[in-house]
Amino acid sequence: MEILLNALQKIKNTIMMKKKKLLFFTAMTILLAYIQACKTGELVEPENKKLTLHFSVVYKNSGISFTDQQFITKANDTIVPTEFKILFSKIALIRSDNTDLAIDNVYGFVNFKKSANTIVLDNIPKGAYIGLKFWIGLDSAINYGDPSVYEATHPLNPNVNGMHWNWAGGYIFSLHEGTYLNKGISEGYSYHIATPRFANQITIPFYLPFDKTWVEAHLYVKADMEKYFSSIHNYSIKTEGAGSHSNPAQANIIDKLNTNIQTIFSVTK
Amino acid sequence: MTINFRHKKLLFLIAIVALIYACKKDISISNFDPKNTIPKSLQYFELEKPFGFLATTPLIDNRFSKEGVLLGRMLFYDPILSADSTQSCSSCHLQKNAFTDPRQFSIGITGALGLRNGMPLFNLNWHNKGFFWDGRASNLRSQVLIPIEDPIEMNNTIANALTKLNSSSQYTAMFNQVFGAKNITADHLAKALEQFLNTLISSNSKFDKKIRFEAAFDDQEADGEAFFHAENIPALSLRGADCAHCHASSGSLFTNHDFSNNGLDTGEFSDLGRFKATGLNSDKGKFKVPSLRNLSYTAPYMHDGRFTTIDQVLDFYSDHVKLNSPNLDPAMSHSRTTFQFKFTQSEKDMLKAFLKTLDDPIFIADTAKSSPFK
Repeated sequence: MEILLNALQKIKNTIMMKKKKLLFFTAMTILLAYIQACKTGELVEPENKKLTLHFSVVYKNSGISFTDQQFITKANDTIVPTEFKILFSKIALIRSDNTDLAIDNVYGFVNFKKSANTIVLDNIPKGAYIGLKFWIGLDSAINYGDPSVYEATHPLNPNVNGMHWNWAGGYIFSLHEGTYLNKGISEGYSYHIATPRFANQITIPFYLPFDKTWVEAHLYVKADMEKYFSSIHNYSIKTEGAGSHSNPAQANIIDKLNTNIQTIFSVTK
Repeated sequence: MTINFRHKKLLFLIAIVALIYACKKDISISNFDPKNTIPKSLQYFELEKPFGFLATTPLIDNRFSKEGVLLGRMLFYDPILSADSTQSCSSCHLQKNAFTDPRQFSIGITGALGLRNGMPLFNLNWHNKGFFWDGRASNLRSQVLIPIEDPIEMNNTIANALTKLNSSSQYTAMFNQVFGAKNITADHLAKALEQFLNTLISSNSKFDKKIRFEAAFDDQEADGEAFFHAENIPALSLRGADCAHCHASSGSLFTNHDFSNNGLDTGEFSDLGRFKATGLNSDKGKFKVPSLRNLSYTAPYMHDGRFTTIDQVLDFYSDHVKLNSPNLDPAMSHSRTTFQFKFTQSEKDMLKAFLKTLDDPIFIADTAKSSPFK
């Protein structure tokens, strides 16, 4: 009996030793796998990443103070821009296969007069992106909806953007104001592009390999105000009109400016 | 399975840590609930957000309470803040005038005349671009202390005002209750006034009732509202007063809170306005765009109170805007670069009819906003 018990104890000890060894080897394997994974970043890198868009403005290569700086357009208008603001929606990143990654429910307001204009896009999947799309403007439901529903800091709160007329008129999508010289006299210009009819899709090409080497990414979106009046169309304030508040009868003005606006943005990393 | 004492201790510690972590709250604007921050000794005061009004940023560092609002109300109506205890805030901000001064310029304790027309006080929680006609105070809390020290207003020092308050057993008890402080500071004083002033909400005009479907406009008022918003494009035979670019009705505020030159003067401005706050030449002649609410009670009009009637204001916008005024607001000059509006009498009448729908008789008679000393 005692011999039997000793034999059983030996077997048990052997199994326990084996178990311990097994546990040890398993733990070592997991540890090695973890170390290896950490080296390649696969475990610590999140699948989804943050992309911050930084907006800034220039006139050709010069900064704009929006106070009293004069510029001369290609149509020979001497202008002093005093305000440039845009509201945008329907942001999307263009994947390398030319499909869109739509970023839902993100709205942006950029006041180019202010120095800090950033919009953060969260949960961007890894991948290579070749462009950024957004609409300057809003769809009808949002445009004519109740602005009092937006929280205090939301881009669509009129107290944030100062770009809302009233319930009937909705929002101004892009606002560009300033003065120009008309026969030597300083007069105002004012282009308020509004109503869904004049919403304007912008596409900006770039290449961003948003892969595992990125923790978060930044894109710098620069607007060149020279192109607002001097791009596809050389718009003359003096002869073509010093303003429009987007009456449908003034579509000739808005369409020209919207075409130019499509060219003013560029992106750098 | 048995759990020995050491395990129990460990589990207890883990539970405590987990509990603390779970209870830990990040006090930020997104999750701030003022009800949770008010001591039990105080009654929470919820600031009204009327229907149609825009959301505002909560003041997370000033806990609104009924006791705090009452304290601010007492300070507003008590002459104790002026150097010789003869004038209070309410001396120049009369409730029957929507908390402004019916005089062109207010008169301070020394008899000195103010330099600008007093501004009405209502819906201040929505002002986000500065206070005073030139916006020199960035927020209400900093604004309320300035008239106390202004030599042509209360002509006091904050230090002296605080000494007087700290000598009052009633005020020290009230400040202690509201702010838990035995010594009253400038910050406590400003916060108490801020609490009361933010309760001055005007939201019961006929316009407000119309958007709440409690009232309807008559034809003249409705025409006036349409004309108020309509754009003026002579080339397209479109006629409108185009008021809404600056006096936007969004959020029922009737101001964009911005600073503009509306063409009152030409050449050298006698008052440089916003320039005094920013030093920018492009801000010369610009003043804060006032709300158009309660116009029937807030005469005279403009930063210098030059117009005594609404008719005079309409005549100015109709016929007398100085189109060569430096820094004239582009939205104004856009509509009439080389011409004046030349409103007809009928157009003026309907505009005036609409503007009067913005009067709020309930606001100027609300006893909760009146002197607590009566």
